[in-house]
Amino acid sequence: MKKKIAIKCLKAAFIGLVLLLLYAPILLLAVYSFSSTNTIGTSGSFSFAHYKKLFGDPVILTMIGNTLLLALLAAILSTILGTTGALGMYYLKRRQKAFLNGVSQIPVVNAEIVTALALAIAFVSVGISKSYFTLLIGHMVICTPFVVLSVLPKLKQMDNSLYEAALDLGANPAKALFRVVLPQIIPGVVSGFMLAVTLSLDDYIVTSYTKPAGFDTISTYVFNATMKGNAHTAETLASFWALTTLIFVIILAVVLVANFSGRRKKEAKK
Amino acid sequence: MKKKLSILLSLLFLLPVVSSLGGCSAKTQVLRVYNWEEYIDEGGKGSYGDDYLGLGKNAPSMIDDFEIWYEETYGERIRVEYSTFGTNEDLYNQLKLGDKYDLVCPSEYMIMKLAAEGMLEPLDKDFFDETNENNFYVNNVSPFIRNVFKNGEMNVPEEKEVDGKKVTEQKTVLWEDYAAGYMWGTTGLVYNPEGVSEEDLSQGWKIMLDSNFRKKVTTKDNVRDSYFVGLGIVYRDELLSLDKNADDYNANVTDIFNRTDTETVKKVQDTLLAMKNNIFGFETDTGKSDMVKGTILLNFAWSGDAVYAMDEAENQDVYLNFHIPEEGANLFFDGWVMPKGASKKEAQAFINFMSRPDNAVRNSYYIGYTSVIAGKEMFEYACDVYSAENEEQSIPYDVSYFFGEEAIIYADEEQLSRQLFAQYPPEDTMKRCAVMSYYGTQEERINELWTQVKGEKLDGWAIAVITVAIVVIALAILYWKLGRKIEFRLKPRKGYRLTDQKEIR
Repeated sequence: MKKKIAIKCLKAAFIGLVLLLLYAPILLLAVYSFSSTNTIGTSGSFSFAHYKKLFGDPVILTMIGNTLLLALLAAILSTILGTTGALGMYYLKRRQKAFLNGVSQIPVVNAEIVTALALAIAFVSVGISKSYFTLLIGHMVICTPFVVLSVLPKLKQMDNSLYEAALDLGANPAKALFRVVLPQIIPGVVSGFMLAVTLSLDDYIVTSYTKPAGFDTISTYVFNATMKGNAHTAETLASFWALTTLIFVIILAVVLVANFSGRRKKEAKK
Repeated sequence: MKKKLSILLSLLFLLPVVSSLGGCSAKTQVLRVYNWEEYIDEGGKGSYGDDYLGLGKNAPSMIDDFEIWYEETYGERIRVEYSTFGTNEDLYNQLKLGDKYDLVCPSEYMIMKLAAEGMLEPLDKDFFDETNENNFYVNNVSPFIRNVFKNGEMNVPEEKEVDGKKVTEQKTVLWEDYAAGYMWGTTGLVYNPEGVSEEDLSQGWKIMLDSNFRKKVTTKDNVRDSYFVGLGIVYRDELLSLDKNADDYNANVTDIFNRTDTETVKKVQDTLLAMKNNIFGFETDTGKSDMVKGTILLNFAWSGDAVYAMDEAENQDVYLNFHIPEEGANLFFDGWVMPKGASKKEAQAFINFMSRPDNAVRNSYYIGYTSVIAGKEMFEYACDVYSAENEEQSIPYDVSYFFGEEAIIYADEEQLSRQLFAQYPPEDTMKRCAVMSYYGTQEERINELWTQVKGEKLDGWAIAVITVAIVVIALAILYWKLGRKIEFRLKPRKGYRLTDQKEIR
């Protein structure tokens, strides 16, 4: 009995340590987001200055808007591309499948800087000047393989006889795809989409090589601002502490709500 | 369904084409400017227009004002496409990859590199015509900076025809032929006078090796600044033995700080490796806050950053000073140059507008660096910032080498080693500040040095921690395996699938 309690304590302590290490930096930002100082580690009074700056500065708002819109667009497009790609690959013959599987994962294995440079050189050699379009292509290149990667296993788990049964019962292939196949792989599609959003959100390297002039996302701004800072970059960077805090709180809320409602459903079933 | 989808898709691919057409149809000139982040008055809260003119958050940005001024002066509409970079190397890569810009603002060594690779357009003769009142640059640039740009030499490739064959030769030109200054500064040490004495400072750059300041000093995480510090330490005795009153003192200092021969590189590498064990670390951005917190006592800094650090520390009731070592320091500048194929007229108009003294004041107020411009408004601004409140206790601070004509600021005595000193070091201090050129053919060797210096060798304790961690994990796994019976998940036979066990129940 004592041993059990000891083990339980040990487990809790270990998980606590892991969580602390994971979240300490974010918590630090959260604490400092409510202070008036622009330098972490210095004392400041309690204030909402960073939140005011975050919501009051049109430049920052555009940057956030740019980042979110790009992430959503890139994620939607690469989810469509990745899902159809995975479907096609799944029904290919074995050799072609293995080949395509390998090729499609190159951007995953490749160092991102190589992908970025390759894209930039490809655009230059074809004569396409940088625009929102090239940026979107760049982001799709890094996102799509991850969608494929999360959809393929779901396809493998899928019961193929269901699809065949649908065809036997008179559904045309398209209908069978949307009514029978898609519902079975939708968890993979959704997680692929989520992965794509996160990948696109925090991408710096590919963005910096494919973005049009005058276009800034949060990551490109942060990189540039830390390289040669002054009072204004410090203030803007500090307002991102507030952004981090907000994102953290929102995600925490979503996770809690999801868990809570999930538990309720289970209880209701019982 | 199919039709709709295909229409949608084709629309999507047309989108960029349409948007680019939209840009062309309006007949305004476009000026593409590529600059550092927040390196121009962007208006709004905290800009000069807000703090001095009371325009609040509607204070206009310099770019808006330029567009208006250009139309008023030249009768043509212009639109500035302004974008930003983080490092000189980023700028270089983007230019190499074929990005088109009309005006870019790299640091001095990158200007030399771009010039040497034939990537720059020279400035027009008209740009230096002092009778044109719109030539604000030539009429207002500080005589000191003008002199530096007139004496600085760099190479550009030139195509010549020798015996009917085209041959590319390197031609020596002046910096002034290609570049106009924007912001400048020196390197030095920000220090906390409560922990660092005059005597400590007299060691110069060597303080980075002083065991009394072990883990109490940081330097910049980039090859050029570190190499410079290394040179300062290696050639300290030679630098100090130079005759300071000689006419060629600055030339001699510059000579030493531009040594890149193999023996020097080796010596600097050894010095930097020794330094690495003594310093707190190489930093890009954390030095200022570490100074304020008191984690470190000394920090290698660019003068503009130093001013910001001192201001910021003052808010926390910490008083920091700035010191330029006796051996010498690096004089650096960021300057405007035009890449090949730029729209020269518009680009030079932009430089001139930035150089109008009132605009230079706005920019330097926003950025915190020192402008190369020395006009009347600029001097008044400097007086406004640094004049002592109590005139009787003030000391005369001579900045006539920069502003010309007996320009003297009556400042508090503490300014001799604080912000004013950092922004406008006195003339005799400037004599030991040298520009460090682009490394040229030795660039590769010096980059290799940097890799060697930055390469992580694991410390004894790091190895110990990792070993302990591995042992602990191994023990945990063993305990796990022996402590209870493990249920291996059975692999299903061919043709069978595993079902969720809960479902069976």
